[in-house]
Order: sequence, then structure tokens, then C-alpha cells
Amino acid sequence: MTARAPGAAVARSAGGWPDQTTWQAAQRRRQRRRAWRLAAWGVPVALFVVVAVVGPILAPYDPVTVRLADRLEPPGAVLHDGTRAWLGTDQVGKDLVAQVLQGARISLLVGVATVAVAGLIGLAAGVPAGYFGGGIDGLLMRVADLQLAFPSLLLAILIAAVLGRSVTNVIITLSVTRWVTFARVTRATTLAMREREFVTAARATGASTRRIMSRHIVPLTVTPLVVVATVELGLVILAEASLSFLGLGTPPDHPSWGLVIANGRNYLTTAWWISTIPGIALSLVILAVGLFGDQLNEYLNPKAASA
Amino acid sequence: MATASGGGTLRGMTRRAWLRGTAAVAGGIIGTRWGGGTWPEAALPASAAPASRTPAGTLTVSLPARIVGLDPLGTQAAEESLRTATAGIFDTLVVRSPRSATYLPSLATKWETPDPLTWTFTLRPGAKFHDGSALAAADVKASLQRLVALKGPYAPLWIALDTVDAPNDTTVRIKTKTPFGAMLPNVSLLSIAPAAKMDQPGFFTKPIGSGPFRVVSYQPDAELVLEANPGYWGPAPGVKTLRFKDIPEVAARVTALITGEIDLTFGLPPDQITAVQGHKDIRLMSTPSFRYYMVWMNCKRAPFPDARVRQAMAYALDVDTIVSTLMKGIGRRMTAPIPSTAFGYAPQRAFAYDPAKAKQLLAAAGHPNGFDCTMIWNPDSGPQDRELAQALLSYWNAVGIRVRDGQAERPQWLDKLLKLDWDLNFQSNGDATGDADFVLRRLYTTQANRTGYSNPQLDQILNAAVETVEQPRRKLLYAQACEIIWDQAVGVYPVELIQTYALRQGIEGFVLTPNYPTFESVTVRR
Repeated sequence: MTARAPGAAVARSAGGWPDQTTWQAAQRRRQRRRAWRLAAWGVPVALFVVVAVVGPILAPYDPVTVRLADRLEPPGAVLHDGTRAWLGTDQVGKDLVAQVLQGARISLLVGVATVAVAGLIGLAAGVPAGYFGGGIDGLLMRVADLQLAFPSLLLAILIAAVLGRSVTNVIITLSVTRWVTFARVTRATTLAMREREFVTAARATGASTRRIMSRHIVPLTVTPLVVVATVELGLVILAEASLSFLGLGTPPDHPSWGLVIANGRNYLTTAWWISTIPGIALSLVILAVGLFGDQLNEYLNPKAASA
Repeated sequence: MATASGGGTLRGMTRRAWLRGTAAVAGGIIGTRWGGGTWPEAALPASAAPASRTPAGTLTVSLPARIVGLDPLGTQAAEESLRTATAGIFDTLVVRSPRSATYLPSLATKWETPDPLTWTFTLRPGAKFHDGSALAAADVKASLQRLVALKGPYAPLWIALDTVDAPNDTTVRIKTKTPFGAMLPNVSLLSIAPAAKMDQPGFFTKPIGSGPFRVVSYQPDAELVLEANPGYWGPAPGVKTLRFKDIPEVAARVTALITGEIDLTFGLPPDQITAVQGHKDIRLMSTPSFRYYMVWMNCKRAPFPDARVRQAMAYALDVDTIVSTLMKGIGRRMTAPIPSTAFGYAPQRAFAYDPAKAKQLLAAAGHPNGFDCTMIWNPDSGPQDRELAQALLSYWNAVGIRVRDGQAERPQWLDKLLKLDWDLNFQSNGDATGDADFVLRRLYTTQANRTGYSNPQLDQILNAAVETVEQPRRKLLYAQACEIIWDQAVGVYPVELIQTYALRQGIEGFVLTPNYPTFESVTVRR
């Protein structure tokens, strides 16, 4: 942007806002600051993604082999084969580094897949509900209300108990419990968009309903969905850990953080590191993803965020 | 280890504790032929009974597993927690001596076998239920009939039962279809409930027995409160109130013990034992137990019908390392398919850790590259079960036997187990009667069909053993049975458990037994 544009605006609005230039400049400064903050919180999130993708390649996790001679070694201990266990070993002598890295990958996989599936379901339900209104809207939103009235973790436990333990089942379970948020946000956006002039114009030129939805409405629901998805990502990772902690999540040969925390809970007094280290990792990731989501929201919807 | 119990002064001893002292002597003389002999009441002179004492104080116990119910005759009768909780509420005709396979009078004062198919028990006069009604032979009859009719876990012990009748109030006559050598172990598990009330709905939520403790309140999954029964036929128990508090997490149980919320717990893994060792308020007592870990191989499913495959599974395990690390202080290497504490135990040649030999056997059986299978099991079956399961899988994987972890909730696991719908089954098991018949004939005959293994020779030995009333001969037959099961590797038997009890200081007179614990001899000093 050049300095001339705001000047022209002042010239046009005679007797309007004499300090508009300053105000717009302040807005721009604020937006730049938001961009920096977003980038700053993006760093730990990016780090998490890199660790989750690359980590298990560097320190592969062996789900089967136990090393009984090296059980319950504290962080930094040298094991019998001369290697060092930087984060200690668990009750059967498995290195915690490999487990935490593998856990990061499972958290990321479950988080992203769940948000993607739940987002698609939400989009598929929210757009028709908002666009057509009436009976479809009533039906879909009552189903959503019904589900919201039920505690989501309880519902997840119920579904997980029926489906059994596997990574795919965790994704299915959490998608079922999370689609409502996406559906409501999509519906709200669609409701606002369908009365806008460009939609009326498209309708007037004879565009089909399908075309209006796919070309004019869906693209505009993406931004709010991305914000919701980021916030939900943290919640999904937490829900996955909770399910695994309860023994209803990932199977024992897929060490998610929740599972490793559960494995170590009888050793809290004698071997604190088994539960504590994945616990810290989990807290940091959820914190970083949550704050990143907040910043993304502020950056993309400056008005809504400051209101 | 058993001597660590002490038991306090003679004055502080209960009748049962005193009986045990007598049994140590008597057992040496007639213990080997209890089956055919009689035990006259004169052997227990009333004058020698300890002076009566007043029950005082409260003992709070937390068991390693939930108390699933209070019906010792029902379908959950074999649950260890249920047996422990109901042991003080109900009496049995005889009790097993804590030290040896001898059986001591309890409700029955004497018994005889007038012919090989008949057992006659004479009941103690004056025994009363907690509601004041007299305990009669009809109650014994009804209790046994209920146990058989409900088809619970102990019902198979009674397949030789013909009739049970009560010719008069103090005589119970049990007739069997074949001579029956395991009668006393079996009746030591038969809790006596009142015939008139036991079928009333809800009776077993607040049951009435004739034991030293009566039920005050029972909240499932929370607490069971018992109090000393003032009308008990024997000497009064040491404590006024006995509470069983449900604390499912091991770490929480240890904390409760340290803070004094509970007085006694057991079934701790070695790492938790280390945590309480040396604590000034806590004392540890250990005893070999009737419990052990085993892995069965389904002999009806490929590749397990081949004995070489089963033996390879045994050679692949480094049991010594498992015992010295995971099971340190709580287990020892098993040397027979039954624990060394049980009657009928005969040590066998160990399968020494030899992965090369395991691979060689697999190759000879046509599996040079190993094979895939699944092991079903239920977590919470005993101390260190998760760790042990992981270790087993790891060792087998090292010789090419790729075992999938098939852990399941208890009902699903039990359902699969009984339907023989598995390749491998891992569990802890207990010899409830302390007699080889309980585990061997109940589990390994063709008729039992629990492992898919079928061997007419073994069937013949086990059936002959239970039909033999002379104990030395029974022992020889079980030695043969142990050898067949062990060498054929019907199962893999890595570890037998040593039970460690953690007690707070001031808890005295606790008697160690290889079976579930009893608490009537305990006194509390604060």
C-alpha cells in the first residue's frame, strides 16, 4: 500500500473523520503485530509437526522387544548395551524417547485426521442446513443439540467401547463426537452469506443451487472452519490421550501419550519420568496449538476478535 | 516364612491359631492318611482352648481386587476377593492347615468313610447362624445342592457326587458315584449358609453365616463392614470391626497404607514393595502361595497340536531373568504344572532358556520362519501381569513366534477362554483347595476340554487319582500327571507367586497361608 490511498480517502470524506489516516495506520500496525504473534506461536506447532513426522524415523519404536535388565532407569542413564536413555526407560526397559516420539506422531495423525473428517461432516451438514433452512435445518440442528447435551468424552467412551481399540477407531470415535461444532459454525456462516447481494445476483443469473453452494458459499466458510479446526485440534489430541489413558484408545503396541501416562501411573513414586515426560509433552503441545488457534482467529477475523 | 507370623502369646491365640499349632504335630502323624481316618473331638480338649478375649479395635484391609459379591456358592465363587471377604462370614466343615495338606475340624468335628463311596461328617453341636437359628445338617445339604445347581466354578469338583442327605441334625452323609479322594479339599471350599434363607432374593447382599464375623453393611465397589459375632461357637476374633475398603489403584493403596487409612494390603508389585520397605510404620510378611502364572496353547489349533512347537515356546523364555527382574521378590521359577505348595506337586526337569533349541524345534515342526498367533488375556489378573505379558511376547518374537497382544475386558476374555476361541491364553491361576485335583483333573482331562489337549493316559491317571483314597498313592499318580503335562508342554508355566503382605505396626497375630488370608486371629494394638 502506498501513502496516497489513505490521503485520497480523507479528501473524499469531507468533514468526515480527520484522524482516519492515523486510525488506519494503527489498524495496519495492529495487524502486523498479529502476524508476528501468529508466526511466533507457529514455531512450536511447526516443531511438533516436524518431530512427529521425522522423530520416529530417527528413533524407531519397537513395540515388542523388552529389555528387562534395563527397566526403570532414570533419564540420562547408560544402559547395558552402552546407549544412553535420555528420557529414561519404562517398567519393561523400553526407551521413553522412542515412545514419546511415536506418541507425537499418533497425536498428530489422530488430531489432523479427526479434524479433517469431522470438518467434512460438519461442512456437509452445516451448508444445507444454513442454505435451505426449514425442515432440514431443524432436523440437523436438533440432532446436533441432542449430541451437544451429552458429554462428549462420555459419548466417546461409549463408542470406543463398542468399536474396540485401534487408531482408526479412535479417529472414527472422535469424529463422531466433534462434528457438531463444525456443523454449527458452517451453518452460521452460510446463513449470513445466503442473504448477501452476490448470492442473490448469482441466483438471478440462473446459477443452480449446487453451483451457488460450491462456488459462492463453501469457499467463504473455509476461513472460520480453519480457525475452529485449529482450536479443535488441541481438544482432539487431549480427547485421544484421555481415551488411551482409560484403555479405550490406541492399542498397546501404539504408544500414544495417554497410554504411556497410564502405564506409568503405578510408578509415580518410584519412576516419575514414565508418566511425567509424556504428560509435559502433551501439555506443551495442547497449549501451543490452542494459542496458535487464538492468534489465527485474531489474525483472520480482526473485528470479531477485538469486539 | 510362615514362622514370621508369630501369633502372639497363647492367651492371644484364637482357636484356629491354636488348632494350627496342634496340626503341626498331628499332621506329621496322621496327615498322610487323613482321607481314610477319623479325627475324634477328643484330640481337641476343651480345657486347652485359649481363654476368651474381648474383640477390640478396627482392622481395615484393602484387597488387590474388587469384592465382586458375597455369594460363596454362586457363579463368582472362585474370585479370590470374594473368598477372602466371605471366609470370616461363613464356616466350612473342615479347614486346610496353613502349613500342610492336612484338614482340621471346623463345623464338622469328625468324619469317617464307612465304605469307599460314603463320607459321614458329624457336626459340632451349638453352632448358630448370625440370626440366632441353629446350624443343622440340612443347611449343609442345601449349601452343597445350591453350589452344584448354580453350576459355578466349583461345581465341576463335585461331578462324582451321588447324593447328600441329613439323617439327623448333626450328621451329613455324602455318597459318591466313585471312590473320591479329594473330598476334604472340596468340603474345605463349601461355605455353609442357612437353608431357610439362602434362596430369598437379596440374601447374598447381606448374607448370614455362622462364622466369627457378621455383616454390618456392604456397598459394592466401596466398602464391606463386618463385626465380631458375639454368638460364635469358637473363640471370639481379635478385632471388633473388620472393614474391606475398595482402592483399585495400587499406588493409591500404598499411599493409604502409609497414611494409616488402611492397616493391611497385599498383592503389591515389587516396585511398590521397595517403596514401603524400610518404612518405620510398615512391616512386610511373605509366603509362597497357591497362585501362579501360566500360558496355555490351544492344542486344537495349528500349529499347537505339535508338541515340538509347544516345547519351543517353553525353551524360548528366559524365566530366570524374568524372575530376577520383573518378579523380584514376588515370584519364583515354576518347576511343575502346579505350584510347589500344592498337594501332588512333583518337580520336573526345567526347560532351560535356549533360543537356538527353540528355533531348531520350530524348524523340525515345519516352521523354520516361525508363525503368527494371538494371545488372549485380561489385565488385572495379578501383580506385574502387563509387564510379564510384554516380556513373554518379546521372548517369543525373538525366536520368530510373532504373537499379537489380544488383551480384553474380563467378560470377553472369559467368554473366549471357555469357548476355546484362542491360540494362546495367559492368566494367573490359583489352586483353591491346595490339592492337585483342583487344577489338574478340572482343567486337563479330555472331558474338561479346557486346553484342547487330549491324552487318554493322562485322563486315566487323573481319574484314578481322584478315586484313590490313600494319599501316598494319590501323590504318586499326580507325579505322573505332572510329568506328562510338563514334558508335553500343554502349557508354559513360568512363575509361581510369593504373596507379600504389608501391615502397619500394631497389627499382630496375622497368620500366613498359601491360600487367601483370614483375619479372625488378628489383633490391633494402638
